[in-house]
Amino acid sequence: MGEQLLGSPRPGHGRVFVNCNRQGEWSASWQDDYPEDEVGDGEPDAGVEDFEGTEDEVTRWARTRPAEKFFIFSDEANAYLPLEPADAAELPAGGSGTASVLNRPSHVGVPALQGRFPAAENAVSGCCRRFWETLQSPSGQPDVRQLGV
Amino acid sequence: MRRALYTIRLIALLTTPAALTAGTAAASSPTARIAAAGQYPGAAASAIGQSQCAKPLAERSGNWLCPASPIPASTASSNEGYCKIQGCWSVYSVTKSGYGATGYFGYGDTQLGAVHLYFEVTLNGAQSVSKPVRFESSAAVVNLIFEGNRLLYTLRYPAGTPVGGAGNSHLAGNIPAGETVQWTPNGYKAYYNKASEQSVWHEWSWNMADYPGTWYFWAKSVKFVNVGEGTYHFGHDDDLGENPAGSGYSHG
Repeated sequence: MGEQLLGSPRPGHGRVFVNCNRQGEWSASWQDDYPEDEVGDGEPDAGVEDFEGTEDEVTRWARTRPAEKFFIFSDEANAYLPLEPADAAELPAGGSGTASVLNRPSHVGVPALQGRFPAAENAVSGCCRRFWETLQSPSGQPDVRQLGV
Repeated sequence: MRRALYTIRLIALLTTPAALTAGTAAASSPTARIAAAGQYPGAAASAIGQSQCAKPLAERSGNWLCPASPIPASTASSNEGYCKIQGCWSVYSVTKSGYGATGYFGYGDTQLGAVHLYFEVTLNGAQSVSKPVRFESSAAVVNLIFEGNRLLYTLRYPAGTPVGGAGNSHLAGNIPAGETVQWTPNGYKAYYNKASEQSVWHEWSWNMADYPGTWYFWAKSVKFVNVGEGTYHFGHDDDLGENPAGSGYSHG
């Protein structure tokens, strides 16, 4: 018994998720589910690629994956939010081509459980604070327009 | 598979020779245990050895492991989460949840030690990352093994059933008394998005140098559900499957 049998994500497909755990460790995961009719017996039915590192390293890695959609989790919003595109300088060679596949979604899932997690609301974990601050409006309140709510 | 494993454990219990007494048996082979690791024992295996817990220490016999997690006096004002004697489940956000427990284990009328167990699961899309998965014992233990598996729930499986190929294990080895160890280097990861309701299962199992048998303690995380876009969210801290935690021993 060992690691789960998984393949590689296909360029132009799948979703990249960025999150940080309660220990402040950042990670990203690019997840691509293969079409069922293309998966043979004993073959992996999904491709997953992971990356761990500092916030900057992880977000840079995430933004430079040639995936279809990109999300980052916000503890304060208690939901996944769109991961904004990288600066052109951060994209790999031929970055404009990579950027063309970026499809920015609204936030994922309905944060229906929001309000049930006082710890999450009252104390933004350090690893997510910096990202959250970038979403604050001049009034200091979250700019909900950016959250798609 | 769950029924088969339970049957194996039951047969082992019934056929183990009485010669297995304290001080005569060395710890079982971690290789054999690793080979069987990640095999979710299911709900039915939770009671092995637990009959001893109701008895006074002086009247106990054989191996025993008794959960004894402290339960806050007031759950309404507690930040501990949802607590039972088998442990406390907490949900910190829709993608982060933890479980912690305390148990006492022993052999016959001897309490050998107390264990403190903890794991935390972070969800990233349909991937679960269990890190840290921790263990601490007040007594030195040998052949500590961490196991993990992903469970899916259906009407047929209200206690969850393992996701095929998602199990994994880690041999942490011999652990000195009082030392906190965790599943290194990166804990347990699993990816699965073909069931709307899932959880993560972990088991800790260990031997003692001069005693027979393997003590084990397992628990399931709070359940998480598919909310679309390949993403899963934890429910409330009491959204647990049937038989969310168990402990006991085996003669392996």
